[in-house]
Amino acid sequence: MTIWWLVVVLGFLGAAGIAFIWLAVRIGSAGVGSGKNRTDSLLEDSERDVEHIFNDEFREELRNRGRLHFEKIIGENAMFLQQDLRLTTSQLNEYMKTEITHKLEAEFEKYEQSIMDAKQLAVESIQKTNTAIDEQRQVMGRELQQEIIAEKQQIVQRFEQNMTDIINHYVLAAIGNQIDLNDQLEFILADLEMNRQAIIEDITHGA
Amino acid sequence: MAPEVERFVGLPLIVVTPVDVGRLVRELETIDNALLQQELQKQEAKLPKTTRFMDELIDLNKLNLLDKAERLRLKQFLAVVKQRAPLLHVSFGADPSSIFVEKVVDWLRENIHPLTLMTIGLQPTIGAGCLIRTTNKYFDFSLSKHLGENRELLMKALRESIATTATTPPQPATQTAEVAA
Repeated sequence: MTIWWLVVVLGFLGAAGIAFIWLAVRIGSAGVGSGKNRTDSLLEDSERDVEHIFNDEFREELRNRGRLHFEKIIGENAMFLQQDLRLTTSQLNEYMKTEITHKLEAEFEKYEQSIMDAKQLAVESIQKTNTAIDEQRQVMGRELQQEIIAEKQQIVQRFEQNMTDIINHYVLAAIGNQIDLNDQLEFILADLEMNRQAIIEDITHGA
Repeated sequence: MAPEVERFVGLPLIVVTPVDVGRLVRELETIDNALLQQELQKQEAKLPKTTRFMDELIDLNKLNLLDKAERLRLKQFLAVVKQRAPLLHVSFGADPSSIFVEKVVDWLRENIHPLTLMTIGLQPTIGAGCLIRTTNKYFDFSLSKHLGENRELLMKALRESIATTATTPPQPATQTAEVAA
């Protein structure tokens, strides 16, 4: 809008200048006639008229009028230009504000989206970690349970293997002082009786 | 058995170990020397004071040690005993009394060999029973061996006891009041 106004003003000023030049040339070329005398007289008349009409005061008056008109046009155009410039500036500010707002909103949306993605990734990572920890805990629990069972079985097996010594130790600790050899004589002789033949054979055929 | 041994009834029950036999041999030599000195000094033959081992040996075999020939036979007999008598090493859980040892020796000499000697060992870990080591064999008559032989029976009883304990609900603790008679 402002550019068009500027173009119109400049076109108007150009047309006024061209018209002024054309009028000066026309007036200058009007003295050339057909007959030399007549022409000369006409030229002289015209020169006089011209000198009479376009004397220095008139020329100065025209120059002043042109200057004032030019200044007026310049002032108006400057005013229009200033208004247009203000309008353009305000529009430009509004445009910039809108654009920057859009850009910022877009950037904020992207930023928010990236934050959401990062948050989602973090949540997924935490969930995976929790799942892995749960699985690991379950695996460790099973392994621990198996180890406990194996250890228990091993202890029971060891107890069964050494149960004879354990009970013997317990019997000794409990009633060891009360065991009398005389009470055992019958059992010892019974054992000897059962192995008598083996003892005799070993004594007879031994070294 | 050698002919000089056949004349003898045997060893008294208090003579148990080869050490006892050796002690008898030394005592017999002492007696022999004492009687020889008495003979050389032309004194009346009189037996010196003998130990309980020698007394019982003399009584058992009806010996007259004043007779040189019998002393010689006894010496030969003791030498044979020392060399050929079967020796058993018996370990007990506690130190056995002399009566107990005599009973065991009596059984051994009656059922195994009349001249059986025995060395006694002490092994507190066996608890009850005894361990007998002969020349080539080892006989375990201890309580732990008996428990080991009956281990399955013991385990069965133990498992049944555990199963019964597991199925039976725990009884609340009760307190018994002492009632004066």
